[in-house]
Amino acid sequence: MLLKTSFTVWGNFDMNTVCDIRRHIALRTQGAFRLLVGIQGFLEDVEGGISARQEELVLYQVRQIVLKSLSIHSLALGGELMDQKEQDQVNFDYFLGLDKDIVEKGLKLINRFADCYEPKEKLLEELRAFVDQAEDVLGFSEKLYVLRSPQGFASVLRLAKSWEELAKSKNLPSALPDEWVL
Amino acid sequence: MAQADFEWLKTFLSKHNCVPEDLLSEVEDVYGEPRIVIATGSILSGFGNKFSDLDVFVVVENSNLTALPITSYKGGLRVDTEYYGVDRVFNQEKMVRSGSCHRSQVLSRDLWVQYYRSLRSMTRFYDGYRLSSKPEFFDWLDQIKSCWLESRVSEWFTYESCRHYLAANWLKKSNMRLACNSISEALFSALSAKVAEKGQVILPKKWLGEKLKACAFVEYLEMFKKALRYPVSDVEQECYFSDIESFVLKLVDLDKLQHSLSWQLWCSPGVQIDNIKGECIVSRWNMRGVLLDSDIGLGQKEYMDCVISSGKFLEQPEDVYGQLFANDMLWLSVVEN
Repeated sequence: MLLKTSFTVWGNFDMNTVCDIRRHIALRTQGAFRLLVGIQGFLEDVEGGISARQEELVLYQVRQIVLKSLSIHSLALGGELMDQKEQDQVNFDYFLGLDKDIVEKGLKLINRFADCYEPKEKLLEELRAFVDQAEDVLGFSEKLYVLRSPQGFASVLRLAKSWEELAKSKNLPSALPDEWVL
Repeated sequence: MAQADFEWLKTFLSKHNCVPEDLLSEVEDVYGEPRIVIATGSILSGFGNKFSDLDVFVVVENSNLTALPITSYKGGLRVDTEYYGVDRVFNQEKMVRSGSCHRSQVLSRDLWVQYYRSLRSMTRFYDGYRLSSKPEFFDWLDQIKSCWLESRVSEWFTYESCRHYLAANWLKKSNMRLACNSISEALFSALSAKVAEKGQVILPKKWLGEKLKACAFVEYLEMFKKALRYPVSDVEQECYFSDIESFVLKLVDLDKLQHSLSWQLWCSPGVQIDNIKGECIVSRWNMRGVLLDSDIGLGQKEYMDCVISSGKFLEQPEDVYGQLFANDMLWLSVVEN
């Protein structure tokens, strides 16, 4: 578990302490890539599916978005670092360490999409807010780039290079898709 | 079929003020002379929507490449161009033709991943539209687009359904919520096997709904929609698991398959096993860990790259291995005997 304290020392200088640096780095690298490579693309699929009335595409990707967002929360609380990239793992636990409330919030959101009682556009806004809540867990001061945008890919590649070196120095697994390096 | 693909592609591109020749203009020869260039992706499979992007696969002689896509934007359309060495592509084809990795005597995660990527690559070529190619590749692409690949994909998903089914039944003892995800994945794989038999071979399950509609599988579509909900309460989870399991058993002949299948458990990536004063510590990435009361009998190097435990399909693993599996310390494969 991350324990952060914040206090003022030496005048106006604020400092946070963490009791598990490796998990902190894993959260930021692995967690960020779950968003960049997974969730961002899934959100586009949901938008496109709503527009094209591809109901099952929407439902499937909403489910993936919620599960992956929950896994980011879980990563901060002791969850597994290496998430499913290619469905090779059949026992990856998206919910490890999570409070019942956040899990139920996510699962009920999936089911609200399935129930079709509310306008999809309204639910999409709630879904985005759920994703934003997961991104907040990463603790970055700015929003992540959108990978699938003209400027985003180059920016993410630059970030990825420094993160990879940092993760490697701490004997953490790579957060990058294997295709990017093989 | 080729003409229909071309018209579909032209129509989609015209909405972005592009023509197929614009895709070729993105292809660089810095990686070597292209042997074959295909457009592929959900648009070519017939499912994509206005937000879909397009992939261009370029096969070159150069074998020293990553599959990192080179992204460009044409009239708002995102085009990802990926380069593959011809040797790699031919090796992938050979691997898939030789039969599913589940037929290996031992199936490690590395082999599983290698086969999966090869299968994925071949299905992209299957659904792709040839933009240009050298004469010697004309026939190659045509013979990829045939029923041998359909049966390989169907076979893959059938075995995967069995694997998820097994995981679901092991997990339900300690983690019903997660087991519900596993049993739904077993169903999604079983349904994917059915549509693959009808030529719907692209792997991503997000398109399963569209594939089921294309095959006019009305009953299966309803199963899929039911499984996409996620049960919240304990009671809902029990009902959900039972319902979805019954769907899986309708689709997959487990009565027959169980006699020919075995499971294998391997250490998951990052796992380390240490023993200290009678306590066994199984950890992953030196972060998460499970403490066991007794030594599970594996020395420092013995557990690397080998089967930790195995059994016939419906045999339960020993408790200690079941616990380690439930804690995501062990990786599961399913093989034919």
